[in-house]
Amino acid sequence: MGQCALIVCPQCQKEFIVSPHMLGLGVEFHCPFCDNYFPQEASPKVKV
Amino acid sequence: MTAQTTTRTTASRDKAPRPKSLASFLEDVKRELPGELIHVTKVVDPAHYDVTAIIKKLDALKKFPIIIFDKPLNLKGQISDIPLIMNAEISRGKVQVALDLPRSASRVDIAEECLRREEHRVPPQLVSKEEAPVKEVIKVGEEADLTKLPIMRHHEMDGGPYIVMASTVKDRKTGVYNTSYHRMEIKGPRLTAFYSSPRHLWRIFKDYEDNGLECPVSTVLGHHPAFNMGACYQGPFEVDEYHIIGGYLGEPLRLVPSETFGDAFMVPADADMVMEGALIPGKRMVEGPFGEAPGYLGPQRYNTSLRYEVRAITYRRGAMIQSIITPEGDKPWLDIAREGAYLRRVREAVPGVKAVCKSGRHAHYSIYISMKKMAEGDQGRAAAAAFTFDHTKNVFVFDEDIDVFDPTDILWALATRVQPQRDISIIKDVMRGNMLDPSLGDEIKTSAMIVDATRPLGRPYSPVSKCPEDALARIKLEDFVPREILDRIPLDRTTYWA
Repeated sequence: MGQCALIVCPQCQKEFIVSPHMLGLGVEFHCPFCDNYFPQEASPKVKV
Repeated sequence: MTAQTTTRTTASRDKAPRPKSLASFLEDVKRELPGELIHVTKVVDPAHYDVTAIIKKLDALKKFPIIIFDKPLNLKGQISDIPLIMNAEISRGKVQVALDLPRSASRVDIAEECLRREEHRVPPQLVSKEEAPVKEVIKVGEEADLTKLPIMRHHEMDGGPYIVMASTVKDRKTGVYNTSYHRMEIKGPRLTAFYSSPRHLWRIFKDYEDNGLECPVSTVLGHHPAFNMGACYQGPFEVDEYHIIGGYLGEPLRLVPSETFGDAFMVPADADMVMEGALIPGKRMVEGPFGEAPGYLGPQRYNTSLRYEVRAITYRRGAMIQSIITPEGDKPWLDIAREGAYLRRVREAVPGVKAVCKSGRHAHYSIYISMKKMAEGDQGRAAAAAFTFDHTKNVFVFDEDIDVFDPTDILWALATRVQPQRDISIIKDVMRGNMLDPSLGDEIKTSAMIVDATRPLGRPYSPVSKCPEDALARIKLEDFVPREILDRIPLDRTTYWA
């Protein structure tokens, strides 16, 4: 943790948490609900 | 490495004592704790929370048997011929059996025994492949396939199925083995994303990585609970933790050369199953979220998640695969070794320390110490010693009459022996905390607190009201409330003061 950021999967629209250190790194996020891999800019919502 | 499966039977050891294993432990449990081992014979899907839900429902009934799931689905959705075992260490009784302790051993007795075993280390014993049950089935290359195993998805929002058992690496310079628990997400048949916080394993891996080398690694997927308890040990970097585990087992940990690295990297011969491979330098992976030990989901990560390439899986005939964490993410009772470690540290500072509570969700970052205070300031020294270890954030210090394993006793002392303005000390955020602590404002630094709930030595303090000891000794309850009546009175757990 300590802090976490909230990401929304563009495919299933479900929210999950990522380390703020992942933001802006250029790596793809992995949705734990639908197994979708996507870049940060594809997420409809990023909340820090 | 070419794909290959080899099977054989272990050489007979007719006259030698049988080494401790998961199977020997289960035999002990059947004998010592009848009723504490059950089989679930229906098909379950561990990757879709069936096992988590069954355990959660048993928890709600306050029942914590060892459960062997005979027909779990593997990650391909097929019935696995390898059963899944849960709860092997969860309860005082099972830990007593694991450490050959009497049923009367208290929690402090168990912590003291952990200390004793850590001091009486036992060097490992090297054996040949023919003598090693874990080499009865050997799968290398493409035959080593994690998706053929019944691996659990533990919590809602977990990034995938996870292995949570102890992994071992070997320091390149000193040659010592270090064993610790790391979550790893299954990313493919021979690939996991391995989370590593900045502790001993990280230091060892970085030395390989900085020299452009693969770091050999193994993971024990099932063994005697004393092995799993010994793997919780946290001590100086230079200590070879295979020796510590030998101490916990009370006999040498038998080791056999790994398939991947030969005798340059040894693995436990009496494990049910060992997975081995390498942590790859210069590579990181997306991993998580995962429900972690503090009881919260740890976020998806990248920088600290290593690429673990699996090169071989070896196991004994009739092997079971084990998972040790609860649906809440912690490892109750398995972690009691840490209580012993705290006891050692705070006693070095203050000999009058009686007990330390470190295990349990309420004690994840908080330490509860009871002590006989010989001088004012002992409480501060004990707290300072606790801060030198692990991830301690809050230290609560009590007099020796407080049972630090009883929440009611703790809350009573906090209410009646603490003046907040005088007795609570706040330390600003200069300490390394735990990245899994969701309360952190920083990535890793934490503030800290000492709560002094000891009574002052220098002035009279109202005595605790109680029934005189001689009256308790004189009165025999059954003389006044006959046994047949006593047995009919229902247990009442709602009455707070008892």
